[in-house]
Amino acid sequence: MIPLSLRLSLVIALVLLLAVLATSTLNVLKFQQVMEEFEESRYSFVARDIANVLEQSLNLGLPLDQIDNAQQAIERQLVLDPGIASIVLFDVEGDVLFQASRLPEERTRSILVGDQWTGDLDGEFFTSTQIENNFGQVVGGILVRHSAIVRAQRNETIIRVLSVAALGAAAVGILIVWFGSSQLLKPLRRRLAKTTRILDKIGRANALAAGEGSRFETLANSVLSDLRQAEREVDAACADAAGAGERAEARDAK
Amino acid sequence: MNAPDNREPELRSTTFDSRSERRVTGGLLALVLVVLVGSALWVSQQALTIFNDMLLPQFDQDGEIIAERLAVEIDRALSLGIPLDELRGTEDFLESYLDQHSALIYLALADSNGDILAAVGPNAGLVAETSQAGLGAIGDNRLVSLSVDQVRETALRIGSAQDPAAFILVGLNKQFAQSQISDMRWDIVVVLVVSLLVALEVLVFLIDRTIVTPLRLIDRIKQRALHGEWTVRPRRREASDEIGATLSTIDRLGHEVSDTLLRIDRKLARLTRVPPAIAERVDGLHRRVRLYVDEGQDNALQSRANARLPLFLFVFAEELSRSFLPLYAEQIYRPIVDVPYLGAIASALGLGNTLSAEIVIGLPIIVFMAAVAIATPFGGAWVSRFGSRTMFLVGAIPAAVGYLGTAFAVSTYDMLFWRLLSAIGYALITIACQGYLANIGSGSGRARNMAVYVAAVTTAVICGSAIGAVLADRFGFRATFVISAGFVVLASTLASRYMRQYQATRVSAQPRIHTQFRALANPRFLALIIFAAIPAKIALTGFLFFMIPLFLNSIDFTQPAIGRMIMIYGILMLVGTQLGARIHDRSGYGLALIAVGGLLTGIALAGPGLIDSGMIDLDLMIPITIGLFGLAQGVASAPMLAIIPHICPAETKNFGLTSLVALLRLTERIGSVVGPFLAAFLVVGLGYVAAIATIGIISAATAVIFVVVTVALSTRKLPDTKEVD
Amino acid sequence: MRADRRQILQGLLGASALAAGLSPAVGRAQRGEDDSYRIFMITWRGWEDGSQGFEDYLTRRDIPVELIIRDAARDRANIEAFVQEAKELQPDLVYTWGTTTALTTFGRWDQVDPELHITEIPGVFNIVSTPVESGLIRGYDEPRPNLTGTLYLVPVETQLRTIESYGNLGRIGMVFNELESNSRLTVERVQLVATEQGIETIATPVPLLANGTPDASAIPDLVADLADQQADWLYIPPDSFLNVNRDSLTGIATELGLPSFAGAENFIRDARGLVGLVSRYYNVGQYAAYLAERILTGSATPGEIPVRNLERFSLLVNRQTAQSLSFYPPLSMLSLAEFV
Repeated sequence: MIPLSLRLSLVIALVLLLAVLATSTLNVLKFQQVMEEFEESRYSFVARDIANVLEQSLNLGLPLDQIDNAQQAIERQLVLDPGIASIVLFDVEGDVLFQASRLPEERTRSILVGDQWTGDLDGEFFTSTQIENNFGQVVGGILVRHSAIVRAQRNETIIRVLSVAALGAAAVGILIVWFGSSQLLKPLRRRLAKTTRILDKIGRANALAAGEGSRFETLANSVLSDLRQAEREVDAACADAAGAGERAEARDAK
Repeated sequence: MNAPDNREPELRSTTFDSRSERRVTGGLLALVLVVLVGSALWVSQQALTIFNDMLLPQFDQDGEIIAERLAVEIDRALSLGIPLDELRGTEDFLESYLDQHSALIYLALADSNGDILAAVGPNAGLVAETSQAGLGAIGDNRLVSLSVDQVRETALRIGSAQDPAAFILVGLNKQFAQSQISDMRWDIVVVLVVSLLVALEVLVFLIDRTIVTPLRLIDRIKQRALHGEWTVRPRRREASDEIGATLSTIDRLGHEVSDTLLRIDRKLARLTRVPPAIAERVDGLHRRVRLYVDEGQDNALQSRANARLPLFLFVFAEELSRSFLPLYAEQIYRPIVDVPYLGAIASALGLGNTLSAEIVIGLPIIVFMAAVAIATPFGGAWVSRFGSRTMFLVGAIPAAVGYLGTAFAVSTYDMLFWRLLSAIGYALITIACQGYLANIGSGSGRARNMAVYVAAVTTAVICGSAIGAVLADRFGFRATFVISAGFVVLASTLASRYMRQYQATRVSAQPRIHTQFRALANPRFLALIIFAAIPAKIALTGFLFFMIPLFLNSIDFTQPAIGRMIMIYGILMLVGTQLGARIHDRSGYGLALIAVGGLLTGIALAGPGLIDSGMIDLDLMIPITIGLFGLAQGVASAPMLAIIPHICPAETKNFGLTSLVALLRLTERIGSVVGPFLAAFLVVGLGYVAAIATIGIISAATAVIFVVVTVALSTRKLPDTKEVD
Repeated sequence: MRADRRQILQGLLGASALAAGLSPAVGRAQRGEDDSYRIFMITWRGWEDGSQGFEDYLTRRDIPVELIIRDAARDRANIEAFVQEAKELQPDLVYTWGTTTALTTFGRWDQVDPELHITEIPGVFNIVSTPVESGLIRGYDEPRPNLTGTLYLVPVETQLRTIESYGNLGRIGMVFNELESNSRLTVERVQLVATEQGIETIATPVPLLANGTPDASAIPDLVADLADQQADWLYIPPDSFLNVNRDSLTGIATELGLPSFAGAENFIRDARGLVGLVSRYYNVGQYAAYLAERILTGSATPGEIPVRNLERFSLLVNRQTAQSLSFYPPLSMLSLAEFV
């Protein structure tokens, strides 16, 4: 027997759970968005910073592959941010000039035609920027590869914490709703129980005390007892009839 | 064993009257509200805590990167032999780095003594208080990050520890996470409002199914018994709850009565001769106890809730696209001449150049509104003939097909066909639900039924537009239409299960419109339609349905934000309706309220014009405009109906109020069709802001004309009418 | 291998280059027998940075070229002979260095003589001060069907903006030789642009000696006069006379505490001028080679390439002068500046 209040609370619980999950999803998404914006702006900043240094050198007429402070500029940035897995400087052919990369060649090509790009590839994240010479020609690109693990761990943590919070909130909420609905339905249940009790007694001898029960119950009680009374009389009549029949048979047999 | 009367007076249980029902529903809703708000706050608080924990290391990294970057330049200057105090343009230089981080509150340069030489940022003044902490903590380190009150400060030393040349200070706002979280407060409010409304709908349905209907059944059984008719229901499983227990007890009683009676009859039948005393007694019993065998139709009890949830779900499905339909139409728009086949036809008809993009984008709304207007009277007739449940299910087919078709539409033109199908479905289903509700109960109960209809539709409008916008933002326009189709299926499943076939036999419930068209001969009724009802619909479809999605999108509102705005309309319309009805009931100022509605619409729609003047913030002006508009529409809506008996008493007597209301509802749809057309023309010619203002001017002007005409006509032609306000 | 590179280039150059297509290139640029492009280079005063940049760019880009180098040795007549030679050789491209060379090779745009000028072979001009004013092309966006080129003078607007951001510009003083049209035109241009921006100008021509040549000994007094009139900056126009006398000009200005700006490197590098904003010939040469590359590989015709300046110029700051004036560039300019 599922009590009424539990039935109501279960359905409300469903709504509640959805609401809490929606709230925490919103929070998680917002969090991810903020974090990704931060990362993006940081890595673009890093990439742009290196590009500026290199473009400065290009202004002096140096070709990209002969800029001696390029390696230094890249390493300096790499040290600054542990989230950066590697920084790659490559030329317009897609050939890596400084630092190694596992990046597929097509990707470097697409960076050279696009302007700036942040995306993920095989679970790793990249931020890129172009290097232009002083007549606006793209001569190379910088790629900052940042760890996907950091991001994954972060997301995992926040999802875990918020799931616990959401489920906890939902559980507590369900208990409160259950308790509340039991309280709200208590008068009804009490009345129902009383009705059932009285209804149950109907038809039993002297079960219904005088004045107990409604018009219906009194009526039912009397109808039922009348019916039983009538049945008994019919039974008696039947018995009589059967007795009379036997007597008649006996008489016939004689 | 009489057949039950379908339209027996609605029986309210004495055990659980409507006051108790409201108390339980209200109490549960209050509980849900408290729990919802509580858990939302709790979850957000948890999110904030973890945000802060995770942002801090990020901030330190960012602070370091920026400090290092600044240091390179300062270092270079110093190495060139430029003395620190002769550095020029330091503030401009620092300022150029401010937009590198959204949480930056200051960037500062301090000399070797720690005195601030330059500081920039939204809260540059703060550095005077916080710098000491950072500089004090730096010690032999080159770089240090630490928290000072609400600031995360990174300090960096240039030069050696013994002989520092300068210091760089970067301050980041630790409250940043807080501000990001509060960015979401409206999203969370939407979730709460929608959850609450959905909980309301579900609770109403559930309480009706599990408490009200069984109790009514019990009461009916008792009531019948008091009239000598004992209900015998099929034997069934033990009940699953308290009411079920009562019900099965009462069923047992019924069975016992019927079993005994039948046994007596059987036994009597075997008797060749019934003693007269017994025959008389049994005859008496038969007079007192008649049996009514209920063929297991315990779902048969009519209930408002049975139509309410399917209706809510269906309207919800339609409203999902409210906030983006014009945007979707715009997205797949192509000039008609570029469409294969259609283009040739259009050119042949000379339509090629007359159909501007704006008009075509408005067409899906126009077609929908027009189709609903045309299909509704037919729907009414069909519901009378085939019944509510059948019509609901029949209507669900074009509706669902229409949504699926819209989801996969290739151009705005085939989309029109799909929208037409959905409109037919919409007309059939809404009229089926109206028919269902109109035939439940009697008298005041029926008035409440229509309130149920309005409530279900309004709740669906509020929830649907907001949720639809979020869905569209996440999954795209097309997927959202597929979801709409899914909701139609769900709604029709519920309808087929719980709505009882109902055939209207009462003519008054389905007024025959055409005979009542004569009511239009009353100039004051005509004035009500032309100068109040139609302009209201023009504003609704032209401004809210057509222009708002396009306009807000053009000023970079996100899809969920557009949905929220339309939700604000729904909520305030609801408030306005209650307000208007209440004021009208108290004061009877119907005419004045209609005028206020029109004028308020005018004022509201002038709002966006203020944005350019810079007097008010855009993000504040738009919700104010839309909220005020909703309020205006709501305030006028109830008086518009209530005023009818006053302005045309004779017609009300002749045709009945219901028919006049139906006539008004039908004719005002002209406005729904004209609205997007007019709006599209205005937008092409004037741009959004002026077009919106123009619609507002039309509303205000027609409101004034309406009052003048009505008052003038009442004094001239109907001098003896006292009811006029 | 070649085809690959061409595709990449076209990718880099965007849709317009692609639209030009590959096929016209075959007709336009004919390869030498050894499969390399032949470029006929006419220089004015020998091999210098501009031409070196041109060659280096092509080498670095692995573009197989055969350079046919002809130096006019500052003699116009030589050029006329080179033009006839080029007509016979039919190279893939003609490169010219300097205004006279370009005008003699290609003629004024409105006075082209197919007998005297190159009209069919694509050409790129380099180091021409004012190609429009001198009549080489009709407008910067209107190159000739077979001729385009580079600009190397930094526009006056950019120069004034640079001085302004260096700081403290309210009144600008100029000394110039009115006999040199280049110098005179530049001064007029500065007066025009400065007035538009609300900057006052004082322009003083160098007085002439009896023999009609400008008087170098007058320079210190002229500069002192400017200082007396509260000029904030000394603007040095491109002027051969001033170039010869750059030491005294920039020296006295620095002594008087007057910062000086020049559009040519010598005043900063080899004298005491404070700031210069210049296009390095080497970079301009590379730019010209980039145009040549586009023409040779067929990604554009000369008529499709507008005549443009470099996008970035070189900012030179004389460190000693800045020190003695105690007038350093602002921080945000520091990273851009090259100290000499």
